[in-house]
Amino acid sequence: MSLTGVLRCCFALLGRSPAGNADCIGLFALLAAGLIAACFSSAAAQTTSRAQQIQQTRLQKVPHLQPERESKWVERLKTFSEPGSIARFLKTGEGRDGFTPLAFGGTRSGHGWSFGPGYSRRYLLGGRAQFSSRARVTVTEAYLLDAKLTLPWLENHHTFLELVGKHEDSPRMDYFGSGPDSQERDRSSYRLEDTNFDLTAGVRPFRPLKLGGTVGYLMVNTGPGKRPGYPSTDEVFDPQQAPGLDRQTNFLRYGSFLQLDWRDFPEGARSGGNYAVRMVYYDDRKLGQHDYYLLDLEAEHYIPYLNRSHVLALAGQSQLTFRRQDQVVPFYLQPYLGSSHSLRGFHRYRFRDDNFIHAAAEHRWEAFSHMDVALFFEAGKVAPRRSHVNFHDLEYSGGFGFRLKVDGAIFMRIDTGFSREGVMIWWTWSDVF
Amino acid sequence: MCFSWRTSKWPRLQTALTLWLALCPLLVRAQRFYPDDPLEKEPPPIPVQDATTRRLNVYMEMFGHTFSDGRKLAAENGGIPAQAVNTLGEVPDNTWFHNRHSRRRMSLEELRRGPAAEGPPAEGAWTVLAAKPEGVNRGVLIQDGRGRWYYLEVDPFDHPEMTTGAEVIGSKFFYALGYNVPEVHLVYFNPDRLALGRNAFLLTRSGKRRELTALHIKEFLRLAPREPAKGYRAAATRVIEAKELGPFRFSGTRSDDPNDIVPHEHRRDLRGLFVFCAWLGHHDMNALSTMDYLVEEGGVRFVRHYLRDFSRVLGSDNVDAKQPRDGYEYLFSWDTAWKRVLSVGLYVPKWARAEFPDLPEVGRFESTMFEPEAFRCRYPLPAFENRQPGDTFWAARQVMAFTDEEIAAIVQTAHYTDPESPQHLVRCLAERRDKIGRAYFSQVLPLDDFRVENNKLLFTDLEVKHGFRSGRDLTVEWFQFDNTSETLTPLRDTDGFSLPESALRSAPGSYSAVKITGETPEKTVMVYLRHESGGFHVVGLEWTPHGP
Repeated sequence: MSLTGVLRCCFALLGRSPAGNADCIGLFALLAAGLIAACFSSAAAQTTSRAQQIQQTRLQKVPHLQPERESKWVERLKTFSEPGSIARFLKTGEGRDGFTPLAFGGTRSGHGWSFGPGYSRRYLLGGRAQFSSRARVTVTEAYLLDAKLTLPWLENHHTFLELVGKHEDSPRMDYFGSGPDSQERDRSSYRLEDTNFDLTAGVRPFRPLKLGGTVGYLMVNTGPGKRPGYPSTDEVFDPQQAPGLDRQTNFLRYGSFLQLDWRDFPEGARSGGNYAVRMVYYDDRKLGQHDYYLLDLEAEHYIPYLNRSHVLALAGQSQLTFRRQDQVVPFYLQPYLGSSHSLRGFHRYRFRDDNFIHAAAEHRWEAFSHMDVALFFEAGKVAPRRSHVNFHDLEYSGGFGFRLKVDGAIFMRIDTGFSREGVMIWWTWSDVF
Repeated sequence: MCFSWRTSKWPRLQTALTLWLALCPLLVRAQRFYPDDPLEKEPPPIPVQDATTRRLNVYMEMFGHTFSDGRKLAAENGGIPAQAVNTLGEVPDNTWFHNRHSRRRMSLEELRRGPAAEGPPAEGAWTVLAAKPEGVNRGVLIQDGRGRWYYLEVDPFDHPEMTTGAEVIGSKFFYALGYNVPEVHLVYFNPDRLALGRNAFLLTRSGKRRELTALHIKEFLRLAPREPAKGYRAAATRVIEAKELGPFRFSGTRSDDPNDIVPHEHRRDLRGLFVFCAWLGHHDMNALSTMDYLVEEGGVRFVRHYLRDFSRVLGSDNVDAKQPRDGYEYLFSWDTAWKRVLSVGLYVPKWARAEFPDLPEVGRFESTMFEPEAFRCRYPLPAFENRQPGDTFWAARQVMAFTDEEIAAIVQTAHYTDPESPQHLVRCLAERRDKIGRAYFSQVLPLDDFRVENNKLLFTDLEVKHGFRSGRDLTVEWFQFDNTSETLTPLRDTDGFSLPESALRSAPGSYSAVKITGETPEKTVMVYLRHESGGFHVVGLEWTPHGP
């Protein structure tokens, strides 16, 4: 039977008569198309082995090959190619060896977020020296310029040396008056502008122990404050109440210190302790009215439990001044309580006097690897005389907070403190102790 | 000539022809098994003309995988059986993986030697080409007297021998398990052996290059522990002399590699890697612990895929001991975070009660709290999230292949000073191994090593073999299997695991199948046999649930 005859049979089966040869040819074309489609669509059926099947699949990809594309952000984030680098950058501006266009933090509390450029070099003088500098401004017109030079090479010889220079202008410093009985309603504002150069050097016989000395020069200027809604300090207080309000001076300051630091990780300690004592003499170079000694005692201890998922942090600090009867500590250098580090339920710089004592207990636990939650309780007071430094008539504060960490280092902290004077929220780039 | 589709006149014809076109492909059907099944080795790779280097960023990987990718892909995929496997569910040798210890037992000497082909750096002076004195993976790049490059990585000061030990042990285990890894050798050296090379540079933590000086080397060594008698200890990793193409991802494929045809999240060798990482405590497995190289062999260039950087296996986290939570939870997890915040610290994670030895050389590594399925890397990886019981069963078999003696042989290559350190590691690795076996053998019907001898189907019950249970009742059903239509026809003349007469009489090239069911009907194994001139051979295996 000819092909045409076969096709006519097909039509007969379908109950139709073909109109002519054209219809037969068309039917033939469809049948052929179907078989060809079967061949192409069943390419796998053509293969005779598994290896051939794999090779065919590979070859099918060849016409579609394209270069691997690298995200443009990889190059932009080149500076942050290691874990922890972002935290370091945000906190200190370090991390980029060279110019950093933007980093945060560094100015005095109470002036808003500070930001600005920095420059650092870690490998100067053949690796012997490190230099860093930064400039910060805030929207409240506070600014800071500082530079630091260290010689890490000296650590090979168990010694250390650091030279720091800083100029800072803070137009919204708070002052409530001196003494434990100062009133919240007396809040005033002053401008503090100071420049200092300090050299610190010492020895480190073994790792936890540091002892050394410091010498420096401090130049101070105060002026009317600019905090909106609050009077300037010179409008509320007189020089008797706020010594040094009318005339400022320069200081040559020098002293010594001893520190025993065996915290496991100073930037986010979970065990160990840090104990330090410093004694610095402030030598009034211009007025002869503000000579005094400042003794700073500091202790921190960290007690971990449950595999360091929980930590009990205990801290105590006391600053005591020693002076002759005819000398006074200027108000702008008086020890104070009330900050993101002490009595967090009160305003910053809330209590000032010649001496203070402060103690804190904080219970921290991990929410997840990069955040701790904390509950804290604090007590402290300021006192005009050292004999009044005791545990009576203390001010109290308590609250909770969150600490963000990277590689164990706390780089941001948000604390909410409660006290008899209300609630304060602190957002800072530092640890509490 | 033209054909006019006169639809109104011949609707029945039109329908019939449409059906014909649709059904044509089905007339020519694929077969289930090919003559070369089961494939033991993939065919040689197609030459790669060129491949570009593509970098990744640690933070992009961390955030991308923590908040998307892994789990999303797994949810979308809904449990896809692994690919890049042969008909027995095994991974054929390929550019990612080579069957080693579990299939062809390596001797103790081979296990100790690991991937070492060229040996440690040559004796004599080493030229320092570059240094990274700070941050993670501190070390120096040297060239030995034979011109070979090595990267020397040292231990953190408070944990002598920990990081170098982890590198050496990790590289050998992953090599024995089947992965491509660089050679790592333990070396001791004194500073006078290091000579500064011309144009040597220092790499800062921020990726900048500075001129390298002798003072930098001295500073670098000052922070490394030193043994008075031997000098400084380092793990010397042989630099692979091929073009680095960048890390491979745990999902998708490389767009410039024609041989990379299976999405990585579905590769058994990558899915099973989860089990190996759990066993060895490699909590930091991610793309940045891998590297693709453009290699050339026999005149053909192709991409070979490596694992690298084992400084975070066992109890080490490179610059310090592991954190207690490492290996037990992700860097971030909503589930645990909100519970801990709201419970005011009263909700205590399980790892908080784990006990770790006071062994600075070991870091934090234990086996009591360890649960294989609860193991967590720093963040989810798509391949790990897509794992199925077939993948973990495959991997568990690899792990269970290591005896205590073999584990000890590898651990001893770290040459720990304190004898308690290797003892602790061997004990923990053995216990973790057994936990892996128990966990993953119970998810399927754990039968292995199928073969036909004397016309009888033989196999090994892995749970019985390893002492996890005493015995098991099995039921068996025999079938004739049509390789083309994939239909099963039950056979009546069966007698346990002996081949039925009808199968024995079948023509060469025909197939039989036997379905083995355990005590729970959901867990079965289907074994496919091909009648060949020399007898019957097992050519296919299929487990349920979630077959190979």
